[in-house]
Amino acid sequence: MRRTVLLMVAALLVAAPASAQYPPVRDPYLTVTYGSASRSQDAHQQGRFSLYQEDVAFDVLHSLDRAGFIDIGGGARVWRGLFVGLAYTVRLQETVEGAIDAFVPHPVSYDTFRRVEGPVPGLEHREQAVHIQAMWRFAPTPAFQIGVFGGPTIFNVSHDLVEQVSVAEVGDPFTQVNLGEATLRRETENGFGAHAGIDAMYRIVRHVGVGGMVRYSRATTGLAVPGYPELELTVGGLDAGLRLRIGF
Amino acid sequence: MNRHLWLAAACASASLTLACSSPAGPGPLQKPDGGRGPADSLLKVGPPVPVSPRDGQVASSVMPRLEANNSRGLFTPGLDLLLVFEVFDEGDALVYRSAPVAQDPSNRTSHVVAVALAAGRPHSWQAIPIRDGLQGPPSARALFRTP
Repeated sequence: MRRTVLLMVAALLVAAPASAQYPPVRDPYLTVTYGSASRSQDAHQQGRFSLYQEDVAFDVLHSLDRAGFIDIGGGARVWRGLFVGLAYTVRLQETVEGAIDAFVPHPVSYDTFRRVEGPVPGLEHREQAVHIQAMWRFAPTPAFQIGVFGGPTIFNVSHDLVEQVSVAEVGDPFTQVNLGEATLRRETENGFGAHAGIDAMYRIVRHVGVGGMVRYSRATTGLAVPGYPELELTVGGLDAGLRLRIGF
Repeated sequence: MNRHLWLAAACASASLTLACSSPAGPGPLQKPDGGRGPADSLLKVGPPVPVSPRDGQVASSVMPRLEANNSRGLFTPGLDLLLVFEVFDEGDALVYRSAPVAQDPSNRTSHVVAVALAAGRPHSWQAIPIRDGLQGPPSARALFRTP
């Protein structure tokens, strides 16, 4: 987090004097962006619950991958080419398949565990973020604008965690067991992080431009079923998308 | 313009570097500690229940027939179990131990003691469930007298 903030501050400090040769952009703006959020994360959730007078210990692998996003933002100039603004990003709903690995106690013998693995389908992940951003905008040509931006980000994450999983015994001698349906519990948590990025816009008519945006944002959140260890999730990631900009 | 491109590249590189770091996971899955049942039982079964002789009854023979209600699985009805019958003298010394006997499907299992016990003396007996060499909780001791 501290590294990201330092990076953003440095980027803005360098960008401002460097762009002095170009005329500043003055118009307040609104943007709408659609793109793909790229990330790859394998997070492990562990837990225990009681079964047959002993404990089931399980580990669920939550694999998060690429997702689409929509971003709506806006800002206004406060000094020369410096704008302040807000952007709201929502990642399109993701349903991920988890993989569970469990030690299941024996129904007849104490201290005898069966190792079993299986899928956990239908884990939903929702992520939205509000980016508070400072942006330095400049126009190398009258039609072409570049913005370098950064600032703090507040994430809101909602994710399905596994609370329990049912088991189905194959039968005597009980050396094999199948995993049944998992009981899911949706947990929601906020995370505080930061973002930095660049956008480039080409003005196609007087108040409308199109272009692209690349932004990296990041925060770490901890989600947990009460009584279980936390699932640490890194949220955000590298977003790249096509942007429509309306200036006034 | 070139300076801005370099700046953009630097920002993207730094972002990617940060993106590659992930929080530490919880470590590999550990097998839970195993439990034990009552009386150090290794089986999740209920104890057998002595039926006869009991409560100081006089047995019909010095080689009495011992009868107990079956042991049952706590989580597995219809579990195949064996019973071992043990007889103790009045000093609580083990004087007889049977070979494992398959539980009778009628829910009551009996066994005839294969040695002659000391006549006219108090004794006690118990039944112990067995499965795959593991021992379950023994029944309560039942008291009787030999004729």
